[in-house]
This record gives sequence, structure tokens and C-alpha cells, in this order.
Amino acid sequence: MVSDQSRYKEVFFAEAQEHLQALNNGLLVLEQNPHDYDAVNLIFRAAHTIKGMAATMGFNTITTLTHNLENMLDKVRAKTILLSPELSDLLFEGVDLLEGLLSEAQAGSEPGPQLIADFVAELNYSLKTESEAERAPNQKEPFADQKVELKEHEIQVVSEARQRGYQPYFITVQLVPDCLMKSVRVFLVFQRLQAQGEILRAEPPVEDLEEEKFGDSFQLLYISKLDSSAVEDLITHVVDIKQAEVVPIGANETIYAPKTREIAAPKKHRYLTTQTVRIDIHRLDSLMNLVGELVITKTQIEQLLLGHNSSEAEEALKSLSRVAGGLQDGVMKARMVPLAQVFNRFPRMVRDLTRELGRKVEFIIEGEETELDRSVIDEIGDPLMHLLRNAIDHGIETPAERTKKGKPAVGKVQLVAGYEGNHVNITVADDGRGLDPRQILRQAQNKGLITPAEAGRLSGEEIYRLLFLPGFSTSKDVSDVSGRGVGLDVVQNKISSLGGTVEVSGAKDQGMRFNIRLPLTLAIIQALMIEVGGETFALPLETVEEIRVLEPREIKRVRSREVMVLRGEVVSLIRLGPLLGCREDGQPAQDLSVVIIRGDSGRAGLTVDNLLGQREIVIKSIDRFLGNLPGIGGATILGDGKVAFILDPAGIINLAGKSYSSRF
Amino acid sequence: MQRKERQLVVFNLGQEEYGVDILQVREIKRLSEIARVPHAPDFVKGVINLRGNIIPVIDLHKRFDLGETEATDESRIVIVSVQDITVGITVDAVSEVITLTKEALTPPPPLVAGIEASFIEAIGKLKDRLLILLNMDRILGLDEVAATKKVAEKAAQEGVAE
Repeated sequence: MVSDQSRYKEVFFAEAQEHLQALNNGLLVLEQNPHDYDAVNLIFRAAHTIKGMAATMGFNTITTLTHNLENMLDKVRAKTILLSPELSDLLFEGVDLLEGLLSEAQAGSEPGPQLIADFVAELNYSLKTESEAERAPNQKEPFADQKVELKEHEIQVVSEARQRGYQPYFITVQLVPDCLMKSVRVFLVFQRLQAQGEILRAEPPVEDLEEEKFGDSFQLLYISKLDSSAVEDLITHVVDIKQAEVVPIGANETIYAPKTREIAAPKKHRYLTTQTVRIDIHRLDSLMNLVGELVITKTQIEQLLLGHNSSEAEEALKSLSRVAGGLQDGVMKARMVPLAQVFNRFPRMVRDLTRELGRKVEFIIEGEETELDRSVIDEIGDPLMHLLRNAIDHGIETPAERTKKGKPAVGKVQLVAGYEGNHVNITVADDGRGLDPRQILRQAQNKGLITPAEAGRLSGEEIYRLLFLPGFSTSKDVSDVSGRGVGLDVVQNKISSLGGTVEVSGAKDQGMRFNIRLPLTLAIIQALMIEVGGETFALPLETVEEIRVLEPREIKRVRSREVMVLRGEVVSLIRLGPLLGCREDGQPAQDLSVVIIRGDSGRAGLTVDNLLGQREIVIKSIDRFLGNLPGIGGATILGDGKVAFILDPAGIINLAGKSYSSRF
Repeated sequence: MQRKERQLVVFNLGQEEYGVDILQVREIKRLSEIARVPHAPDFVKGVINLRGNIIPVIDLHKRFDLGETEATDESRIVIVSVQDITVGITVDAVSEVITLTKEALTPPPPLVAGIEASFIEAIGKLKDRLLILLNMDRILGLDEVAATKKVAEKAAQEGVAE
């Protein structure tokens, strides 16, 4: 039996890692927003799954630990316990413990239960105290704070109504999360309530409710002769109403403090739970090579059959093309991994680090959906981690320091990724203390990295580049976080080994910004395929604004430059064929298809012979042997195995500008 | 070169016979569709798709200023790898692989058949035939590439400045 199970161990550990990540992510979300029901569910499920799997595999300590975590999470889920900072610390600690157990178990043997005894005791203790503390005052009021004040005229209306035997209520209606057609629910609630009374006010206003400009809940000021439970029944009868809280307003009350704001506009978090299969990257490599061979062989068969005129063969070939194309796309995509895989582990790290160092940081991640080849993803984590640690440890000041400098007490650290031509840009920026160029120079001289004469000659940019020299560290004291004199040089080495570059900029007290540029060995973008002079080119779709058909008379000239007028704006027209040196098919006298693109320096219209439609293409880097090709951002391989170049709009506009100006 | 013997892939360009060290040759392909590269140096014939990799192809006729020839059924692309760079070179025909002893190779005379002397690593003697052993590093002009790149970048910058 034991040997039988060992086959599944690998799968268990791989899946457990994914669930661990889900636990971490969920806890982070929950810490920010203790009412996030989805997050609770997600982490509860993750813990539950690990427990189940561990029990099957016979890992008793892991099972016990997850069981206890699950108990606690169940209480959080049932809202008998609200997640306090202490409790979330405890839960994080539990997740760390779990991670440790898993890696020990993977390495060979699972530690005994004594290792988790202390933690479990602590967990159970706080389970008891927390639930006692939480239960009493908060049980009846699951909503967050927001005061609502009766307006003057409402006070009058309410008291008049009361005299006529009506009871005023304050009602909070909560829809189920991700409810569809919210305006319909609102309408139904209003209809039912109005049949039995009168709605005096809605918060947010009715117009916003009708346009679905609200989160999951809204509030009403309502008068009716029904009692509160009857009113509640009226509302909850509507499908997809999660909860209705109906609170009678007392005779002299003018302020009611129900609880909504937090819930009214909950932050949307996407829970990326995906099912995955782990596969050795080399297998994908050889698969991809085979697919390439397949495509080429298919083309050869096509050519062999050219003279034979067999419609059956043609049909079969068409189907083969389709399959081969799909296979090619699939394998290429299989290698691409979103940066989220790397980015996901940073929020936790940032959280722990800021607590440890007593900083307050708002950590912003953008563009985590940007995809990079697997081989790059695997390598980029460490350098990014290093930069983030630097930003928090050396960059962001303590809240007190920041307040003294007139900055907001909460610092900002950003991690932003995105595509740019055939590169991916990743920026790590902070708004901390930055670096004083003079201090960098002093440090570099003290360490003997440069001579005083050299120091005088360096430009601002060059001074910042000194940071990348081996053995350079500006931190005055060595901490266990960063600043041991190894750092940025390691970052730079790693990134250049990936074929990328890293740039640094910053200013004293304004923070630092590291910009990493990585080449896309493989990346998939949406492109508009165009034909010019019999050749096929791809235009990144994100740079395409629109497509126009121009009659010859719509082409105007401004100082011998061809332009067109687009909604009152003069846009220069670029004849793509001549610009790219295509053999000319003779300019067609009839209407011209023009693709309007936007580059860094503005708009331009590109004339094309044919529009071949939108396609998902895989960006291939062009061999460095060819160097930088002006106007070309990369290349791609079409379904039939042919190579097509991807145009770089900014480069095309520059190139055109140059060729025009050389004519004058 | 310490090896006693060298194996060479022999091919024809115009009237002459040339050789490349077999250790540099990855494979030999029939002429396939070559995509023209806009704004590339004129000896770059284009790029091909070699099993998912985009490989530049150099026109040796243009590189050697031999004038143009029509592609025939015999025309081939020889894929060579030099210093991590993989390129294809177009040749009129690939004839054979031969083994030459070190003694059969002599340094190139200053003037040979009009092609630039630095492109030639050695002359191989084989009975009544003379074989020009090519110096691929030079032909690929790896230093030259850097130069063109700089020019292109400079041009691009000037373009922005305007």
C-alpha cells in the first residue's frame, strides 16, 4: 500500500501548494475586509481540502492542524467570530506552520503532533475567548457602521405617520453577492413595500438603484402599519435577497446608525482558482518543436498535392491545417503563465514585512494578468522580491517620519506589469525617502568603487547606476531584511541573464522607481493582420483606434505631406508600402483602407491594401543578429508556417516622420 | 585549430566551391518561403521559420558581391550556428561532406576570386580541386552587426528629435 501511495504524493504536494496559496490570498483579503463572505468560503474550502487529502495520505499531524484551522474558520464563516488582527496573525501563523509541515513531509517524514501542540492550544484558547467576546454585542448587527440622519422634513412626516398609526422603519436590504439584474430586485422590493406602506427615502437614491449604481445593499426609510417581521417577510420573499434588516425607529430617534458602507460597496476581488496539471517544461519544449515540424510537413504535403486537383485531398488538408493550427496555438499558450503566479506571494510578504518594521504601506499590484514564458516567470520572482524588500525596508519611512515630512502616513509601494511592444515592463516604485545622489557618491567613494575624479564626472543617471555595482549598499545598518551589500547587483545579473534590462530613477524624499524590461521570448497578443504589397504584417490591436475607408478626394496635403481629417483633427497619412520597402502593386485609384493607430507621439493613419482580420498571435523575438529594426516590434509565425512582422506603431510614426523630413 | 582532420560541408556558389566546418552546420534545408525584413542590410535575404524559431537568412551572393543568380531546384539553405547565433545561408547547391587533413589546408593568399580575403579562413587542396574554407564569424560580421545597430538606433533617436 505504501508504495502505491507514493505515486500520489507528488500530486498531493503540488495541490497542497495551490491550496496554501489560496489560504494566504484569502486571509489577506479577509484581513482587509472581514465581511468578505467569499474569502471566508474560499479559505475554508482550501483548509478543508488539504485536510481531506492529508487524511487520505496518512499525514496525521497535517490533518490535525488543518482540522483545527477549519474549526476556527468555520466560526468566522458563521460570523460568530469577527476576524480580529490578533486572530488573523494567528491564522497566518497556522498557515506558515502548515507550509512547514508540508515541506518536511515532502522531504521525507512528517513531524509528530508535538510540533503543533502549542499552536493548537493557542488556537482553541482564542476560539473560546473570541467567540465569547464577539457574541454578546454584535450578534444582531452584522452590518458595518454608517449613520443615517433623518432630515427635518422627514422627522415631521415620520411623527405625523406615527400619529396615524404607522410605524417608521429603517430597512437595510442586502442582495446575494454577484446578483444579476439588481434593478429588478430593487423594483420588486419597492413594489411589495409600497403596497403596504410608503417609502420615504432610499439610500442610495432611487435613480442610482435603478441604474444599478450600488453594491450589494441599499437602505430605505419606510413607514407601514405592519410589524417589523412582516416587513422583513415582504422583502425576503423576493428571490436573491440575502437578508433584510428591519429596525423600527423609536419615537424620539432622529439618528439611526445601521451598518452598511463596508458592505454597500465591497471591493471586488477576483479569486483565481484554477485547475492545473503540472508538467515538465522540457516536455512542452519538445511538444512545441514537434508541432512546428507538423506545420512544416503539412505545408509540404500541400505543395505535393498542388497538381493533383483532388477535392477530397483538399478537404482533408484543410482539416489538417485547422488541427495543426489549433495544436500550435495550444502548445504555445501552455507555456505562457500569468505573472499573478509570482505576484501572488508578495502581498503576504509585504504584510509581514511592514508589521515587522512598523511601516504602513499600501501595496498596489497591477497587470498581474500579463503573461510571460514559463522560463522567465520561474526566474523573475527573486529579483522582484528583493526590490520590494528594499522599497519597504529602505524606502518607506516610519509613519512618524512621513508625517513630519508632510507625506501621508501610509506609504505606497507599486508593482505594475504590462506589455510594451515585444517587451514586458515591470515597475517597482515606492514613495519613500528615495536616495540622495550625493550620498550615493560618498558611499561609492568610501567603498573604493570610484575615485573622487570619477565622481565629479558622473551625470545624475550614471550616479544611480552605481547602485548596481557589486558590494554597494547605502543602508547604514545591516538588517535581516535587506542591505547586506549584496542586492541590486544580484538583481541586475539575474535580469540580464533573462535578456532584460533594469533602470533606476528617483529623487530624495520622492521615492525610487525600478523599471525592468523583459523581452518576450513568447507572448500572445491580439493583433490586426494587414496586407501591404503582398506581404502580411501584424498591428498590435491595442494601438489600433479605428479603421476608415477613404475616397481619394479625402486625402489632403499639408506642405507636401499627405493628411486626412478625422473628426476635425488633422492626422498624417502614412503610405505603409513604400515606408516598409514593399514592392509596389501600384496605388489603387479607388478607396483606401486606412488603419488609425496611436503611438507615443500621436495618431497616424496607415494605408493598407487588405485587412485580414483580428488574430491572436504569438510574439517571437527577432534574432539579435538583425539588431534593432526600425518600425518593427517583433515577428510572429502564421498558421501556415510563414513569418510575419509585427509593426511597432510608435516606431512607424517616427520612421515616417524621418522619411518625410528628409524630403525637404 | 588543433584537430588533425576537419570535416567540411562543401557547397557551390557560382563557379566556386566553398566549405564550412561541419561542426558549425546545424542542418541543410530546401529553399522555403523567406520573409523579407524591412530596413535590414541588403545581404539579409529575410527570415525563415525553423521549427518555431525565427532565423535570419543571409544571401551569400550579395555578401560576396557575386551578382544575383536564380534559385534552382538545387538551391539550399545551410543553417549554421556561430557564437550562439543561428543563421541560414543561401547556396546554389550542396555537393558533399569531405574530410581534409590539417596539411591540406593552407592560409589564404591575399587575393582570391574577388571575394574579401577576411571572409576566408583557409584554402583546402583536394586533388585537382580548390576549396575555399569560409570564416563564418567574419561573414556574419558580428562586429558589423553592432555597428548597424548603432546606426539604426541613432537614426531612430534623430527621428524622435525631429
